[in-house]
Amino acid sequence: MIYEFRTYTLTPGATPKVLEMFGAAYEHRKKYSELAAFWTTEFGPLNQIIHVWPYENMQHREEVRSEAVKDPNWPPGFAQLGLVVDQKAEIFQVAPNSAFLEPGTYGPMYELRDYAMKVGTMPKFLEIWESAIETRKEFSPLAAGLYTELGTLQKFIHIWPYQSLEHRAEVREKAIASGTWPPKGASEYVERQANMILTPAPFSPLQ
Amino acid sequence: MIYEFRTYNLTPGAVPQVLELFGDGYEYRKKHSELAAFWFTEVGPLNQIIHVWPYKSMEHRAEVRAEATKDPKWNPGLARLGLVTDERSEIFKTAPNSPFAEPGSYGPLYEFRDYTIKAGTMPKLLEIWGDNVHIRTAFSPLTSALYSDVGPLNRFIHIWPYENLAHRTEVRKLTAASGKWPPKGERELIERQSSMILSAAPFSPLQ
Repeated sequence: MIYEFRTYTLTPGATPKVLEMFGAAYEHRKKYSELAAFWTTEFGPLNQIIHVWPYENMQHREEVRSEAVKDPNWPPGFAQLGLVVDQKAEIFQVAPNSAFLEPGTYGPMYELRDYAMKVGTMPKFLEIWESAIETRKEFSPLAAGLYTELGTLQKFIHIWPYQSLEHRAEVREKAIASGTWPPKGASEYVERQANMILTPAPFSPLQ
Repeated sequence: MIYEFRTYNLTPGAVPQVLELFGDGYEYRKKHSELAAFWFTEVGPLNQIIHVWPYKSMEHRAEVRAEATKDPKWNPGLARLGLVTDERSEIFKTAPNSPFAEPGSYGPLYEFRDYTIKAGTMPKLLEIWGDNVHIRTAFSPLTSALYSDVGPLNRFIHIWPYENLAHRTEVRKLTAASGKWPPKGERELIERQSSMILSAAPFSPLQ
């Protein structure tokens, strides 16, 4: 399984219009393949939408996309209206024990943590991650842990749903106090860290 | 009055140690001049500290800094300990009707909104902002709004304290419902927007 993250930066104020157009067109798109999630940015770079498409492999992606584009109702057409400033597509693989959550309600707030790893250290980092992630999930669910296969390399992202910032603070405090999180030795492999707070679109399978 | 924003990127995990070192050093530094605020990033680029130093002028800044460096107790030694990966210094001026908040407790959550404005449009933006900001501050207080004078230009930042995210959501819903905020004509001048959540350090005058 691969996950394509498509990140579009929109013109300021365009998000409501784009969600409306995307939501309407997605009704026609989803018979070819379904979204894993669709978010807008609440904190971080603003006016961004992130849509996540799962595929069995790159060939499956090709097939689905070439079929979908023949549909007169797809793509949604907001790019032609000049509402998109920048587009980025990245392909991720799932980290060990970090499968994407099944559709459902977990949020409403999602934290996306984005780590740039030191070159060549991803295998070692994934090993440490695998050894600690099950314990961390006892404190709160993980939406997914993924690493890049195509696009910006050495990138590891993990996404966590929370009820609120206070819930997040409480979970993190407990996890740290347990002495099992963050996993020992992991920070040595991390070069840069950033995070964003995401809000699900009305039609996102993850809410 | 000018405001120097010094933004340091730290090595992953270094924030607690840096706050301690800086807090100790600041006891000696503050007799030369005091901070306006000191934050670290909670959401956005992580492992970042932002210290804000007000000065009467660039000459005043030079004098204070020349004096402070002579103090053996100042210079927290962060860079020497290898805790800093990157440093940035920028000079900002306050926008009309947007003075920096006096020391006090307003947060604990601070939203830092960072806009890049289309080149040449800052005077127009400041005019719109200055005429309308009272509409917005009727709903919740503003820490300050500032524009860049030295550093990346065409930058407009505004900082808002909230009790929590729910409080922010409520305030933003009310302001949107008023139909008067954001002020008309502002959106057209904006090129890019991003937003971070900051937490105040224990020794920050703004809490």
